[in-house]
Amino acid sequence: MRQTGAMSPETPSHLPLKIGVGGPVGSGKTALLEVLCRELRGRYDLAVITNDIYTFEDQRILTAAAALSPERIRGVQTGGCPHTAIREDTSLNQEAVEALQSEFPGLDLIFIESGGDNLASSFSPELVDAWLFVLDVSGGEKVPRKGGPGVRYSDLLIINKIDLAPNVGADLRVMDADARAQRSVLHQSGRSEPGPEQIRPFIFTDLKRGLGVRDVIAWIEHDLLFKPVAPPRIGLV
Amino acid sequence: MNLRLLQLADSAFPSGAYAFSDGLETLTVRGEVRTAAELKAFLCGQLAHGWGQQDAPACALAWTGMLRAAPDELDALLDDLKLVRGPREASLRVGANLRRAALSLWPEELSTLPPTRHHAPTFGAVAAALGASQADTVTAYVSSWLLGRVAAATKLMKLGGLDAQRAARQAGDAAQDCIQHALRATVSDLGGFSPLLDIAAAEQPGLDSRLFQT
Repeated sequence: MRQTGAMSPETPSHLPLKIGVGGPVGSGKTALLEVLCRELRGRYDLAVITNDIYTFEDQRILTAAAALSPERIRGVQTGGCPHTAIREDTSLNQEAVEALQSEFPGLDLIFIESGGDNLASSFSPELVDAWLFVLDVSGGEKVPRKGGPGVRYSDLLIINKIDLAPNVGADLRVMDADARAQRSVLHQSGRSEPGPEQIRPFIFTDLKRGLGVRDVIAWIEHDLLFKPVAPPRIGLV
Repeated sequence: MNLRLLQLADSAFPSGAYAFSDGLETLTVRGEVRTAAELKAFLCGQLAHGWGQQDAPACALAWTGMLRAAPDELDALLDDLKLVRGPREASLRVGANLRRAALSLWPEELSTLPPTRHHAPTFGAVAAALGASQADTVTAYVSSWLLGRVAAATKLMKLGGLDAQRAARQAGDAAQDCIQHALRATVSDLGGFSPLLDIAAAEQPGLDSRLFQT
């Protein structure tokens, strides 16, 4: 199994798996949730919590897209502190999680989308079981190289909008190498020498066209839900 | 001062209180609070006529142990006194979050904590169980509210951190009066009359673009 903060196989089945979705404004978090909800809603009992800074815009977009029924999409306003609401003080999101669990006791998955934030944002393990971080190529080739908790330590890194790479002068091979370097994990073997290198998963996507979505779903099902499916492909393959 | 009280009153304590502005957002959007002097006036008004006349005395009374004899009296009174739905629900939500976090951190000390719902009685009852004095409890509670509002102001206004803290300092006399009033208060003293602040809080959900939940 890959190195993730995922639930263990012993976790009672009635508890939903909670997956955080973070990343900068406009990187594609809501687009990702829209496509994941459409793809997974027939197989799993789903709900979504959106954290908006100013409005309930993400909740409105998902509702309008009919990604899920409106009562399964909850918006949380975060007082201008999107990172606080998912990291230091998650109580407002915990409220939303409990309300959803109370209303839908059979939930399998809850996605918690952060408000658009910067590279320093991360999710509290008290709030989510695993989290993914969405970057987009239009932010520049250099972004994976800059590191930060999302790039380095998220359970899955998604580099979205790969179709825009030629337009912004980004070389995906460079981004692949930088992401690989940032997400390399050297496990100690118990002796003094380091164990084999592992790479935390990262996936290139073009969510508008559906490229890479299959691998994101494979990450959820293989790495988090322990389903007998093929693992996701990592980086450029 | 009791170290646990400082922890309980700190803005980092996970109660969700950072997402509420108590009507300040509406007033800044309307342009009625634009300067540090106007922020000070808002703070003094809330302390003398609004929040300070309900929540501070409720916190002080909860500390005395009156909840053991009349468990729901303060909460029921706050239900009635908080006329606007947003602040009323915010008080209940932050109270529930504070209670849950405190019980998680100090399960033994709080094993006999009486039932509470609103933020103020919860804070007072928890602080008493943690061994804080009544005066320290109310002082910490009022300070926490005051600094939370000026932190919100830096996000809502063209106002630097130092100017915001200066506004809090200048509201210090009003805060001290509020604390002294709360420490002398009986249940029948809970009240307050701040219709313009209530209207501002009531109008907040209708703003086009909002940073805070109230």
